[in-house]
Amino acid sequence: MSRTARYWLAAGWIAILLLPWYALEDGLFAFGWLAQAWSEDAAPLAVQASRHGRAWLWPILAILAVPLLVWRRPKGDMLGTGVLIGVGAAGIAWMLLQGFAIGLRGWSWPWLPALAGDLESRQIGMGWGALLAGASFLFLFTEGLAARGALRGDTFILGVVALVVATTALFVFYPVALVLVGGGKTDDGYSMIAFGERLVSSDIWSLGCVAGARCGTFWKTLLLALVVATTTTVLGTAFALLAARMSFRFQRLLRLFALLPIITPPFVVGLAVILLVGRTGAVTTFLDWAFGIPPTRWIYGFSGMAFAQTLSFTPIAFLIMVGVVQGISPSMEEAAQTLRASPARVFSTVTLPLMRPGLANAFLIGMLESFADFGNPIVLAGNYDVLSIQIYFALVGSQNDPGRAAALAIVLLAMALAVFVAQAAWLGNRSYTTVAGKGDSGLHASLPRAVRAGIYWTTLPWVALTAVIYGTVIFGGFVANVGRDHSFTLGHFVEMFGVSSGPGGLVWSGGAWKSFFTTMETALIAAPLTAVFGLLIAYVLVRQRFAGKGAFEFVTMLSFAIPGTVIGLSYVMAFNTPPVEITGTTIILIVCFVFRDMPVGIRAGVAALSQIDPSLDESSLTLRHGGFATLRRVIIPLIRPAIVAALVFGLVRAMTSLSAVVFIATTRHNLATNYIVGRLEFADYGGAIAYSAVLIAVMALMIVGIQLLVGERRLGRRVAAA
Amino acid sequence: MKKAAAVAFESVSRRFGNVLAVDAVTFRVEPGTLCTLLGPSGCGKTTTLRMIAGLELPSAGRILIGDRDVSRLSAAERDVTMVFQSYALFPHMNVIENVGYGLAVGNLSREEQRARAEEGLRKVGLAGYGTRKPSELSGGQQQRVAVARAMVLEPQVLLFDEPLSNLDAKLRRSMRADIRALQREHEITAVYVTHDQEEALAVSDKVVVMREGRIAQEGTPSDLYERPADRFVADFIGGANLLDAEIVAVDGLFATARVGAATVERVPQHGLKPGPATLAIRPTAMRLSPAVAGAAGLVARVLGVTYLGGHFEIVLGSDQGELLAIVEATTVPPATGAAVRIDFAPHGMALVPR
Repeated sequence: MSRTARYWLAAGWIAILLLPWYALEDGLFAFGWLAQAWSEDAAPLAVQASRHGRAWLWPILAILAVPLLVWRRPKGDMLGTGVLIGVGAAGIAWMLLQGFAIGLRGWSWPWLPALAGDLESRQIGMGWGALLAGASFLFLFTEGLAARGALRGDTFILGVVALVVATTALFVFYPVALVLVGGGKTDDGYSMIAFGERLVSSDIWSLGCVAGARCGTFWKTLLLALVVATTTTVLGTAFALLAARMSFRFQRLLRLFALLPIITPPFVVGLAVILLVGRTGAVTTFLDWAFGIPPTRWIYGFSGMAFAQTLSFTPIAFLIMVGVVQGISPSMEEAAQTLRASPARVFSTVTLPLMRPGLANAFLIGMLESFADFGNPIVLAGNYDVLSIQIYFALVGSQNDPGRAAALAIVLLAMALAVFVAQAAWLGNRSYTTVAGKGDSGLHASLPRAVRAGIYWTTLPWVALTAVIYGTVIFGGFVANVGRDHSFTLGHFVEMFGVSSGPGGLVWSGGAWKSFFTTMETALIAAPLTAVFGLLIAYVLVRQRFAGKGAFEFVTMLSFAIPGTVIGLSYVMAFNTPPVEITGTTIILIVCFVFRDMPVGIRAGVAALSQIDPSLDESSLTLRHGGFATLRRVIIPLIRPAIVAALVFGLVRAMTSLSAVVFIATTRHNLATNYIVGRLEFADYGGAIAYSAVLIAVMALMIVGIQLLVGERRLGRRVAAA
Repeated sequence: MKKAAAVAFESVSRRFGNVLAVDAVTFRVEPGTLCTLLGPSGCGKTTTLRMIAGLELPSAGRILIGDRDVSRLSAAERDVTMVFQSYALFPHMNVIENVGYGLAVGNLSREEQRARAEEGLRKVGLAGYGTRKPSELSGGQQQRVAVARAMVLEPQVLLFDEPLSNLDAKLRRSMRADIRALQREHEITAVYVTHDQEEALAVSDKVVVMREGRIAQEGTPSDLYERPADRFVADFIGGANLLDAEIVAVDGLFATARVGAATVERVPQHGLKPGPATLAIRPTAMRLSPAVAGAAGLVARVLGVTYLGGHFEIVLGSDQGELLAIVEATTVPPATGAAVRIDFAPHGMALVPR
């Protein structure tokens, strides 16, 4: 047996002999259990089985005893490795089986008592002991496989793959599968009929609006997504051309404008739109006063949402398109020019066709973003229902109909996956960048005059509009009541972030502090985990070959396509009950952030690793460094920019995430975005704005901090000849 | 090097999906010798090399280094180092850090690591370059750093993956002499991959010619050049004109054969029997003279003549297809369109199976 396998075996024994097997009341990081380590709450597996009547735990101990028989066999011995593989698989299988079969009320499945008799005892969620024992089984399994030469015999890499597969199964597949099943859940069991009725409900599919009645949620969601995807793609492309192809004096300012919305919490844009053109908004009031146009509620509904989403998601389209536009090799345009093409002809026959896959990508991403958006609809939807908020209201409102929520979630999930698959299929085998390793010293063709004019006429008003929107937000934070009382005040900030000195020292008297600290804590834990996980997966994807790699890649990217509301709902359904009972803890928030945002880390890592010659890590491997040492000494120093990107994105997404959080945040562990939405529901615009402004400032500071801390890679030039 | 070990492949295969990249290959490299894996691209030579390194594991068969079965060991667990085609110097480390990289694993003190690394640099003639970045070195110097980095670990086997293909022709010649000298001086077991037959002949104790995942022939450079086993090896090493021939008599390692109207005697061959065969003739072994009507012999027409400084390359059209002849530039070449008679010099011919 290898040394690592022995360590994992020892860890398994520690887990079942010493650590509390079940989750503790006070959470994972409390240590009160040490005082009462043999009680029913805190006892380890061996004691639970012998003294507390949980006989179904004995097999775990028995399985873990088997490797002791092959302790002394040399590494690579067929019997020894076979035992490790078998023990790992059997241990995990039994842990899952007993975990799901026996829950809070004894047997979980109605047919089990008939089969195995009644049960005296019951069990709660798994704790430290179970966690470590599970890890021990998983890594004994991979040790066995590695010793047989799987994945070039690299234990570390195989362990990473196994860990990712196991955690993705637990935190993405299992909850989503529960949502699918949940669509058929009724008060007394499951029913295919209920499932069918909910799925074909006219609320969702009705095409009544063609005849003047109301349309179903599906069509409304789809229409909004199509419109938003179109506008964001057009605007994003215009900005990209402006930034990459035209000598525009305020390039840096332009980039800032395009990127600002990314660090803006999701509802802020919607809120600003209300402040401007809502019933009591500044523009509306002005129009009423100056031209006698009566205030209406037109902004609540389709037009308002389309407007706000376009504002929110144009930056993403811009980021995609700027890469595409810069990727077009100038020599292609030069070739067209030497073949006597006019600027207009070059643009329409060379530049635009080369951008086409990028345009499709931006369009599909725009649709995904619109499907998943929760922040803008929650403030602006009015009577125009879209799926993401319908799911929320079906669960938390007076309806309280989890079955309907699940059915709506299935529809939304299907829409998002269809777009995701279309995007993957469209871009899968297509390389739409033409950047080669060779220097390309040519000049891009100048754009035709009509196109230039079009770009100016779309982008410049847009920049002005963005400026007005953000100006309104800042203005709203410093006045008593925006729209009514415009006297200057710092009251909102004091109310939110006041600090006073009490008898016991400083008192965080502001209402926002608690959620702010929780947000910081979860974001600061989640962001590094997101980065580490994403980059590890990227390393496996780029550098390793194994059966099922395509499926592995698809699965890891999938969680990106699943809308946040679906994830939130699924987490509530999956992790409220044993064996994994983490609802109401900060752990569930962190897990949610890590698995939702990981794909961004993966993409950044894949892009960075693809530029690094594989022979660099291979040479490290032949120079006696294993997978982990190679990662630490060669790969990580070379992909620092990707690490920065993953960290920044992890932080920003964790701090601005709303759609999944509304389901899983609790009053005990509330998050900033959720708190702000609460303020908005009380029409406390000033407080909401003040809090948002503080969040934006903190995020900007942290981004700068990460940049300084992790730093740039210092290379003369790439040495590897392509 | 004291640790130099033999490498043995015992019917080793490597499969990628449905493609059999290496197909039941068996060969042996003696300790302290340099063996070259030679073949066109896609023949499996690089996969074979990577299996020695542990960067690929075999799908079937056993690999032995010394007396130890390493088939299932990862690269880091084997005592093998490699010089990569792209050099693979770590761009974020300077030269001495690169050379000392592999020494950091193990129980050498820091001073000892440093001393060993500097000794390695001195051996390749780069003493004093330690603090430079790889990007500040020329291609040849980078190549030397890569060799030093692989050598300082005193591995059981040292691998070279087309190490010279990124260098210009002149540098290639001197680098290959240097590599061979280092290998001989320190009695390293080395395995060297190349697609350049001239390079293979120049540096090797033994050459293994591969084709489509199998070994086409193995032997010393002169074995391969003088006694190719088949048409592929005859053509791949040194380039040969392949003519249909008929063996009329066999005498030990030699045979007499008829090519069209001509008869050639004492041609080296490998266990062939009288009957149809292929005669491989080096372009330099072709002797041309003006054709005389009615005389016996092989006749061809001159299709083109290219002047290459030291010699002429002459393309001939015959009833056996196109042939290439190389003649010294001191003679007057035949004119394009002229009919010539072909005779064969006594050396530079071999009979191989058809």
